Amino acid sequence: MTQIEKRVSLVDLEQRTVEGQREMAAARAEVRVGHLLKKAFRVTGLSQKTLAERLGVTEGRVSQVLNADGALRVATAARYLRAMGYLLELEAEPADDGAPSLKAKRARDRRHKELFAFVQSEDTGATSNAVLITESDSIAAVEMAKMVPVVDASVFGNVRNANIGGTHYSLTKSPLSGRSVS
Amino acid sequence: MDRLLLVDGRVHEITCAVLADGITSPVVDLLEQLDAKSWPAPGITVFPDEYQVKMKSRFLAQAEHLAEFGDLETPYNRLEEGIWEFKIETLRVSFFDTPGDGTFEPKFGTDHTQWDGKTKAILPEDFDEFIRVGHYFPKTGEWATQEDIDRSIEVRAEDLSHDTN
Repeated sequence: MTQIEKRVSLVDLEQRTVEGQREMAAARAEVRVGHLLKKAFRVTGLSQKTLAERLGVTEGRVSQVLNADGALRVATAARYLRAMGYLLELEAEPADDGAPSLKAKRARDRRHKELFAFVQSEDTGATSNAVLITESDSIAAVEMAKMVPVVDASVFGNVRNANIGGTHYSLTKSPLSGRSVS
Repeated sequence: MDRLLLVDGRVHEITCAVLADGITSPVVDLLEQLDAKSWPAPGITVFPDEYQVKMKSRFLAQAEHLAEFGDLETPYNRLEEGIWEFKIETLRVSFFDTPGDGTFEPKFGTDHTQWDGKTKAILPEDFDEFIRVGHYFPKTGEWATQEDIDRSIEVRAEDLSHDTN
C-alpha cells in the first residue's frame, strides 16, 4: 500500500516536547491577543487619547498595552477590547488524549424552560403533556401556543411535529413534565 | 529544492529560503542559534540567553498566524521591493511571497494613516500561496539598514533561482 507522508512542519516538531507545547501555547496566545488589540484599535480609528479617556488611564499606558504585543493580563485585554467595542471570549480545547472537555455538559439553554407549554385540543378539550416548542422564534411560538389551541390532535402521542395556528412546529415531550407557561 | 517547512497553514505554506549554494538556509542557522540560546542579540552579554526559547516560539507563532489566517497585526514592517519583515523583540526576519514557480510579484500592502498621523503599511491580502523567510538581522536602529534590505532582496533572488532550474 502506498502511503503519502505528510511533511512535518517545525511548528509540529516543536510540539513534540512538553516544553515546546507549553511555549508554543503561550506564544500563540500572545500573538492572538496582540493581533486582536491592534486590529481593533486600527479598524475603529480611535485615538490613543480617546481610548485612554474611555479606560480612565494615561495615553502612555494605552501605548504600553498596545505595544505589549499580547504579553499582558487577560483582564487588561478584555477591558481594552470592550472599550473599543468588542468582547473577548475564551475557549480551551482538549489538546492531549484523555483531557476531558471543559465544556458544560448541560448544554440546554435555561431560557428554553419557558417554552414548556400545555396545549389543548380543540376537538376533545384534552390537555397534552408538557411539550417543548423548539421552533427558533421561541417567544412567538409560546405566544402562539398559549393563544391558539393545537389543531393537530396527534400532539398527544409521541409526535415531534404539530401545526399550531397554521404554523409548523417541532415538539418533544418535556423531561420536566408538568411545567407550564402561565 | 527541499526547504525546511515552518508551518503548513490554511492560507500559506511558510518555508525557509535556501541560498544559491542549495544548502545554506539563513533562518535554519538562526533557529539553531535560538535553540542553543546563543544568538548574539543586541545588548545581551550573558549566554546561554534563556529568553531566546521564547523568541523562537514567538517567531513561529507569528508565522503560524499569518499562515493560518492570512493576516497579522503583531509587529512587522514593509521593507522594499515586496520584502517584509517579522519583528520579534530585537530580531528581524525578512520574508517574501511567491507562487512557487520561481517568480514573484512585489506586493506593497496598503497604507493606513494612524491616529497620530503616521503611516503604517498593512500586509497585503493577496500574498501568493508560498511565503519564505529569508534573511535575519538584529535591530540596530529605528529602521533596517540598507545593507540588510539589500541582502534580503538578494536572498530572495537566490532562493527563487532553485525553482526555475
